Amino acid sequence: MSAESDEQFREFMRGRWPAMVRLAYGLTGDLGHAEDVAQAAFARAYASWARVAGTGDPDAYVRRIVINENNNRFRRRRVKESLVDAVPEPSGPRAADTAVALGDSEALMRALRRLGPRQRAVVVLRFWMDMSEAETAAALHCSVGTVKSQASRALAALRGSAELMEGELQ
Amino acid sequence: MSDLHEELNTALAAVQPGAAPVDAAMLTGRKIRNRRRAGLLAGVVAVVAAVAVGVPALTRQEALPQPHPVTDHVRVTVNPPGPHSPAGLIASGLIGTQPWNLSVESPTSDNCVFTGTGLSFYACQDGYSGQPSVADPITFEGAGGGTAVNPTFVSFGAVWKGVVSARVELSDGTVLTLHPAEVDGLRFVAFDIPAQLPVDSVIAYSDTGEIATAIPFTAPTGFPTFSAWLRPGQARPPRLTGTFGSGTVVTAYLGPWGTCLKLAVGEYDCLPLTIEPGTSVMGASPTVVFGSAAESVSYLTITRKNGSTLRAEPTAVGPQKFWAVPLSQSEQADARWTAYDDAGKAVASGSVS
Repeated sequence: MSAESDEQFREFMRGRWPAMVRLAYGLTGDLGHAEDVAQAAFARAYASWARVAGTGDPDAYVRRIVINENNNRFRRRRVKESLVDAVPEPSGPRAADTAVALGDSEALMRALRRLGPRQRAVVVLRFWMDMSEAETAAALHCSVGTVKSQASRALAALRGSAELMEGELQ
Repeated sequence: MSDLHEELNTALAAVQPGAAPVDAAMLTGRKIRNRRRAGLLAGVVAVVAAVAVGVPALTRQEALPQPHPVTDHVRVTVNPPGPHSPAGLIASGLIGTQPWNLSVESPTSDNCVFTGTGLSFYACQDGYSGQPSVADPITFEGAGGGTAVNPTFVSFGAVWKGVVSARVELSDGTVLTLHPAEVDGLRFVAFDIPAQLPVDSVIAYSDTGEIATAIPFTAPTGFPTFSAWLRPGQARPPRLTGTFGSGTVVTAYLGPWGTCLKLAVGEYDCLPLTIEPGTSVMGASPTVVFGSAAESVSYLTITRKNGSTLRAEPTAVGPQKFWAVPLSQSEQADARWTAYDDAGKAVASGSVS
């Protein structure tokens, strides 16, 4: 690619890196994995930069790869996770274990981590990215009906998590 | 849960990633691209150098750059999978004495990937997206293969249900016959050719005769880009090259493959495009917006959000008028365009993004 294209990509990645890592963190619940996923997504974008930039919306392209990379990562991890009895607590930024209210950011993240990957992805895409049900379904390669049901279950689980933790403290 | 968006915003805003690993991502990206296209970085450097030398010399309606001809005849073969072939094999064969093969794994899933001898991988992300039809009977894509010494270009694609075979004619007179192989309910064909041995044409056949012919755009590297298919008897559009743009330079390659654009000097990809009738924005890079213009359009103005304007003069490349202006990504979001005829009357308008 030309030096001009390289500079465009550098500028784009520097500007969008925090947002993509945050998206990946929302999906994975692990900062290390999130940075890996985001870096892989930007690398793929750079590999096809002329085409990606030509779409006029490189942000959407990278976002889509982040979601796909995350989908694939969980597919690969599932095999390993089946070999142990308990799923280890994900790493990443952690608050004190006593944080409980749903209004507490870290409690929300912990509750999110307890969701299955599909439900977590639905919550992040629908309620953080503000994607429509149709857009979320397209991103996750599932039906709108699946998005609705997963969202419903995820929200119920989040409510349950908060109530359970609050109850434990009382 | 009505505040869930804000809760998530707050939670995720607290995540502070380290510095963007731009160089590492670009290095990985180059490796991916090289595996797809040229095998090794050295090949790509040579390609970029060749294009950088060739492109500034291009003038309007100039002849296309052509890859260097093959001086020594190399025997190229292709065979469909047999009854004992491994699952997923699309085709295999020889280039000289070197065997090649191409397989696809999980073409309908997120794990879709094409692999083969000399081709590390070609990820298809969310399942193979090519949707062949009678108008586009083989959805060809390409990737780099072979070795640093003998780079090759693998072309592969999904095949429309009515296609029973395809005939590939190479520039040295070699003819390859492709037979679709079925993997997970999808049908594919593939062939591998030495770099610098251009593809003249591919003809798709049904049980009753020719369906369509594709003549690819051949980059200076020899890499074939397939886009448009010609119906039997359809006249082959002439090959034209032209530059256009106001304050920027974009190169258009028109021909039997359709239209593709090269947005910057030094780029070696040619972006295939479908041109809608009339005046429209066809696409944008982070710094350039480009489009087509109806015959009656004399000029366009692009108005930024702050009210400042840019003027674009359409240029005809063959039968089609194109325009381009430099416009940063941040300016594209709220910009609008208006097209005017010779009398200064507005004839069309729209948003840039």
